[in-house]
Amino acid sequence: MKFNTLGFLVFFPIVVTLYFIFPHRWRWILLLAGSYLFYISWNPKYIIVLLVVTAVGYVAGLWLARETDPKTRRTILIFSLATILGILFFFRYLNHLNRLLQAVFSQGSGSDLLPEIHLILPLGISFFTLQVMSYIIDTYRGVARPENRAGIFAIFIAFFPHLTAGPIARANHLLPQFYETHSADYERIVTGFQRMAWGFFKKLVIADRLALLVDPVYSDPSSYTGTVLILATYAFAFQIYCDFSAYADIAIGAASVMGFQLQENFHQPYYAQSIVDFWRRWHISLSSWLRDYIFYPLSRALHRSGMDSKSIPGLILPPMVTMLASGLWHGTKWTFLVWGALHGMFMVISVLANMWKNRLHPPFTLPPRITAGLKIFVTFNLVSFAWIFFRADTLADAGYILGHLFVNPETPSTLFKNIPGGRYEWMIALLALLLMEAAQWMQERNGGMRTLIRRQPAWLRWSTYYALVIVIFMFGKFEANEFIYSRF
Amino acid sequence: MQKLFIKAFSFVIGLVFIFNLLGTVADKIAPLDDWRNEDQARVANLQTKRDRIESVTLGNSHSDSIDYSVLGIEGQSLAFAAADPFEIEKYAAALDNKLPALKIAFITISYYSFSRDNATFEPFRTRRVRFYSMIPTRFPIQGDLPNFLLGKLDATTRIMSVVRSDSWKGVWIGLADDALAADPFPYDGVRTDSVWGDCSHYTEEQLESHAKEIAERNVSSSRQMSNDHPGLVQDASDALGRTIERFQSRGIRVILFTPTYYQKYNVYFEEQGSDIIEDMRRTVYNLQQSYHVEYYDFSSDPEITISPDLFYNSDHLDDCGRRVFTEKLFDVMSANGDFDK
Repeated sequence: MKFNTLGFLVFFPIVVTLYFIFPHRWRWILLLAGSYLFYISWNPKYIIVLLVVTAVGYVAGLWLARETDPKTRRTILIFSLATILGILFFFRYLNHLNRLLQAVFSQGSGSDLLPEIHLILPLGISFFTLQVMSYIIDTYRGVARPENRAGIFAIFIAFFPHLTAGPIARANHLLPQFYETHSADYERIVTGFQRMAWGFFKKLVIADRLALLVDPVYSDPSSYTGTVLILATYAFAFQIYCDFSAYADIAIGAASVMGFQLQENFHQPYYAQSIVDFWRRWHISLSSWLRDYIFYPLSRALHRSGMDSKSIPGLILPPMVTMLASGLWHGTKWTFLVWGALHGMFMVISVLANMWKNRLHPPFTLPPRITAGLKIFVTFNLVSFAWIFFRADTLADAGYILGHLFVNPETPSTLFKNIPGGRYEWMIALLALLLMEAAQWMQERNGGMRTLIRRQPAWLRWSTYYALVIVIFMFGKFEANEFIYSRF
Repeated sequence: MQKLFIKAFSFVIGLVFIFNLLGTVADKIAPLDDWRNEDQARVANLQTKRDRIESVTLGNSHSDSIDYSVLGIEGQSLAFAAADPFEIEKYAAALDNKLPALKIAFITISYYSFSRDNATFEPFRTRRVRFYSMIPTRFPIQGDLPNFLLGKLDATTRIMSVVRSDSWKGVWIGLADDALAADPFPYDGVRTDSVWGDCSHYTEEQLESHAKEIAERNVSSSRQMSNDHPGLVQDASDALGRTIERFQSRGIRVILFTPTYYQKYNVYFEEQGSDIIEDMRRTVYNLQQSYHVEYYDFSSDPEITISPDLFYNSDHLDDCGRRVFTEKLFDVMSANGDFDK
């Protein structure tokens, strides 16, 4: 089930109403049943994958808690992580590896050595496997308490708001919340629905509209001029942000209606002043996962081997490995690997630049606001440049786009004739983006947009709510396009 | 909790009011299709004349081929744009016991009639939603709950008139340009006073290009729907079989017919979708065998098919064409059974 479908519009109010009607001790059953129903409405067969991963995590957690022998604990850790990674590999990477092997071994012979295996990628597999892995590692490290109740653990993994595209929850943060009694607090419920409405605005009005402009260009880049390629690339930067942050808004809002707090996943990423800063603001739950379970352990391992962050391997390896892992997590296409490698490279360069800057003594310094603006500009353009690889279907397409960004520039008069979607759709997209930016600016400066609205008289509050809902229905694209990150 | 429910309910009521207002304004200034108002008029007519209606025509837009004034009976076309056999079955069920004088049910069979399931194909899905919105059905077609709910939601909120595929562009243009608002779907044919009468029709050139485009579109959408709905021909045939059975069980005579198409439409459709036509002919034959139902195929009637003056466009007869076609239909029906004007 997708958030942006009629099914969810019916499903969610029913679950919420029942949730508050049910006594606390039965609520977990409702949430678990609802979450599994949410999942099987996509494909009933693949619930088995979710159940197996859940079972592995649950058993491993309990076993790790009872076992005291370090060697056995290590074996349990490796075995359980290998099982989950094996499942992820089987569904996610096997066909890619298969095609790679076919390409290598059947060269010249023209025959296929290995048969193609027809697999569908289980919805949300990349998210719930990471969540289970973090739970196992944290239990192994003694950071998280193992969950004894299988039902509670199952709902921790399958909780429907974050099941298909995060935010990736940590055991210490989410598990205790299933034991808390959540009352039907009016303010919290209203705030949750506001957050969901804002998510729908970003998804239906902005992201799905920008998709109509971006998709035709990226599926056939050679049919478009350099100016259109540049515009489509910037449009994609906003499309993916609005699409993914919309999912997080809806997930966080839906959870909040029921009294749960999910981790924030975005914090104005395009205002980042460096690539490192960008990753502190973009897909926060994944980047903190990668930081905690890849970057830090690798840095510590290198440090133990005598290579600290000032040595070349200590400087290059952790960011490169982490970002390559991030690229690989997103998919099996080479374009994702290049995207990850680019971000790794940007991080290394950023660290090096900082080191050199401290040694140099420039003759003048720019005012801090201009410096910050320049940093934001450069970071945004580096991120947008990397998005070309993320969005392109093949490396050849990405290469073509890079090579033609400044070929055949358009004049404003010809631009709207050649750009997909036409002037009207672009105008709505731009106005909606401005509205989003204004709302985010107010969010930062006025103690939150929602607080500001709450302070207004009832007629103004209600008018604002009506205006938002009406704008969504009037200008939204209701083709039930999937969320970009639910493909990963 | 009580406070929340009261406020939520009030909010929804307010929203329904605003949607109705916006939807009415949008439909008035720039209707998204020219069918909605016509469909509503037909349903309303059905209500007012319910005790007198002796005959109805069910099916897609080709059902408008019958001119009841020629047949001399009180009849009502219930043509629904792009209707598929599943929708026809629902429409027939909605008529149950509502038309006490009903004696004849005409059902239109187009080439692609058995290769249609509007719920499976996005551009046609809105038609299915509008069907539910307009027709007084209480249950969805099997497996079609989301469209049914959306349709019933539209019936009370006019949500489909607010959610517009053109993102309200037409409304803004309509507000700025009165001419467009006056006639949002201007007909681009010509008007001729011929031996058949004074009717608006397409020229030969227009018919040729329309035939090519529409045959291509009909074949391609039918193939898409068949791909998305395995076993579609059989399911559609079963649905039509149940519809025939329903009428026959109440002593209503069922007549299947295919209206005449412009010659070039037949040529282009045959070229690209001969298998679709073959499926249709085989299915109709089986239905005739099973239900002893009459079927009249006028698709290539030699007199009508070559006369551009009789066609509104390549697959729809104009007013003159409808009169000529209905005369011919009356003649064969009379020859094959007891039918009096």
